[in-house]
Amino acid sequence: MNVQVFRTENTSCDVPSVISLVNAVQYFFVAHNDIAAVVLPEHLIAEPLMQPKAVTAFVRTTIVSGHQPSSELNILLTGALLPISDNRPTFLDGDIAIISSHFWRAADEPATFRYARHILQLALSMIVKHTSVVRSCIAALQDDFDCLCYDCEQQLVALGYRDGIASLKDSFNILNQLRSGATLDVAHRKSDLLQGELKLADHYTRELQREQASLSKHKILVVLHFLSDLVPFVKALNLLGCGFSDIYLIAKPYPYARRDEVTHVLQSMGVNVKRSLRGLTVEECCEKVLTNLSTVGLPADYHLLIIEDGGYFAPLLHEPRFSHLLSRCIGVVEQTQKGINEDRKIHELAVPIISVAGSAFKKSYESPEIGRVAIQNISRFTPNVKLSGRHACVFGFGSVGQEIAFHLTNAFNMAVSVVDPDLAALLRARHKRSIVAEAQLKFEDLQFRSPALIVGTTGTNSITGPILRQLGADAILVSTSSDRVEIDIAALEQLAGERITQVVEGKTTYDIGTKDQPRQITLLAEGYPINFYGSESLPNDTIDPIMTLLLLCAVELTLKHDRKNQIDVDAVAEVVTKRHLIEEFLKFA
Amino acid sequence: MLDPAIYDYIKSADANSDLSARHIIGEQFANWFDWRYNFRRNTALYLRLIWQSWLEQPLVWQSKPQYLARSFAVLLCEHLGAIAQIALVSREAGLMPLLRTWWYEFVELTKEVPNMPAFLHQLQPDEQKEMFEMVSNLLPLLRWFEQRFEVKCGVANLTERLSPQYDRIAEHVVALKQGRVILEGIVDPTRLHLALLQDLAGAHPEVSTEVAYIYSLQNCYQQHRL
Repeated sequence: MNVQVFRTENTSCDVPSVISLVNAVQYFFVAHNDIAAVVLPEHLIAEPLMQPKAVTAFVRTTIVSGHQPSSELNILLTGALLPISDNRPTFLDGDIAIISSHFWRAADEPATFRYARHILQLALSMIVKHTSVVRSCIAALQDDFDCLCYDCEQQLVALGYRDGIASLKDSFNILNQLRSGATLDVAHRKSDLLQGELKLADHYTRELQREQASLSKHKILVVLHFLSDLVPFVKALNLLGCGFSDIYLIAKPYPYARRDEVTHVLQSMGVNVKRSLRGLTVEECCEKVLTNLSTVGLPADYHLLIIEDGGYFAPLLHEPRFSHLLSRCIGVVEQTQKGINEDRKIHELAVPIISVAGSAFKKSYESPEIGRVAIQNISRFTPNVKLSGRHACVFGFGSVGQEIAFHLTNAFNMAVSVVDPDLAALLRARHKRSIVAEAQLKFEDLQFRSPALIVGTTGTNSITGPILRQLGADAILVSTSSDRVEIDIAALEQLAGERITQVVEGKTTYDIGTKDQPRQITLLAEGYPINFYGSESLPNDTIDPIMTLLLLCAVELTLKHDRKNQIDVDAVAEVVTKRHLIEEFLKFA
Repeated sequence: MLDPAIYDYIKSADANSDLSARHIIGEQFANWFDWRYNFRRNTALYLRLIWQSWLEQPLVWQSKPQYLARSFAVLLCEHLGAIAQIALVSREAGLMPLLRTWWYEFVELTKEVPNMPAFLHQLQPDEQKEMFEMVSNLLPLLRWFEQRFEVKCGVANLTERLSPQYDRIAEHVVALKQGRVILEGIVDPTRLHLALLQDLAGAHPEVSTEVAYIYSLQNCYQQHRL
């Protein structure tokens, strides 16, 4: 949500400081100050008692209505005396609010802090609907606040917020310190995301700038993980000429460790961010973006460019209703196999798709890292579970599956069974005796069908309902694949009925047995890829070459317009070779 | 007649006061009307005379902020233009410094009133603060009186209507000072009273003047009744 904050002329207020404080203590909305001091008309000021409704009407018709980009909430700060019921300093009229400091005394609390507190209250009250009896809740719009009530917190959770909630709770402490005399320094915990960097991507950005490669006049639609590496990646796109407001980012519903913070930082830059959540899928978010672009229309000299993870925009863009946008699209860079699988379903491909997913470099470099992080996170969720000496089952023996099997054997001291319907993979698994105890095409053919841990790495629905029914007394389910495709969660829920318990965030138990034969399945990370759940996955320095590859492939699409409309894996290898990617990365690694 | 928003504002602004909004508004109207139409905006004279009268009353000594606020508010009517200039500034930063300046003006204008220095000397800092807050709360009401009263009450140009041609007023003042009863028509008794007070410049009138004044008004009254 965007909140526009401005002041009346002659009202003494350090608006930038107010904005800075507001943005430092929460991630739910971005406060801006793009509107100059408002000059209220003489007839309003001359009134014996200025009416707030008259002021909001004036602001709406003469200030806000023509302002672009529009904001969901517009707040006027003023020192004017306004008759507001119950002597409140805030007046809310639709999307326009007034905060009056008329009766404030500097000795009580500096106006900057008080303005900030009231902006927080107003904006939060727009995001959630406060209904509880907790009058001191920030969203209750009372004189003061000191907490976030449980009901409002649950509404924020339902809206997909996670780290933002924890951060807001921390901020109550900061706001209390400010009230008690602390200086603004305590609030200046500027996000370290802005300092994050991708050294290799920066290197190539400079190189591309020297070559005068440009992403200007491109609308770039991006579906990538909302991890800290996304911020320097977006900065690189911008350095190559793409305006922040020309970048459209879709946030997946994964509970990334810093999803809200990343969103906030990107929105502060001016990037368009749409957040998917339980009731709003990634596909629907993408559809909204495309519909909006269709409605507004692309400028005549603009092109579309897609960088995605999971095959969302590309199939949608091929629907007849978006044909006018499709004709303006220069291509797609896809980074996952799941996305490529989706793209293969497109009837007549009308744009080139560069498949980073299929590149040998990505497989050989990234997969071991993914496997390692997945194992770290399994440990994080199972601190009191004895896995050593027990059996594990890994579905899929691709590059990630192999790494998982390796670590489960060596780090967890488990015996690993592998299931892979692909004969070549099966052959590989059976010849990795040091890390694979047995390998079969089907789960039913395994000798050990009561594993303590099951990990899906196939990118498809591998852990199906029938398999779930065959599991032993206790089993832990984990996925490393995109979205929630790996495990049939609907079947799991059906088996458990109402006997589902969330133990902690990211750890849910499903009782699927009978009274005589109890069986409990524990699902980790809600079935999302465990490497991303509440985690930063890979460090920036580790993921750097993959992000760089996405960037270079995107630029390649702008450099060469006569590419065939096909899914192209070779292009990635060409980029790796042409740009000496490995050699350059070794200088940083 | 009063704008309901202003009534509500006075009511909420003085929510902790013992006085009702209706009482506050009524009292302030009486003071303002007196100053505006009877004293014809002669603030110095108005303040001097009203405080001469008030300081005789024990109640006034017990309710200093209330009575000071009422009369100080009248003085502020001369400064409503300047107050409008700071309409968008907080009370503490905009109005309060100006109130302190105008307060000195008020003290200066009333210092010759017997017992006024002692009265103000007894004013405690928290009472002065309370008085300033009361005055600032009255400002929308004063602005309404000044801007809207005549129109809303259907008494447009009341000042002019209360000021008929009175060519012989100076002669009548002289007559009264000499203790002579005025037998011809007194066009505007209020103005005559005001002119006499101005001429006396704060001094007590002679008994002969007071008697002549009373009989002159009695004569005027009988002439009109007949």
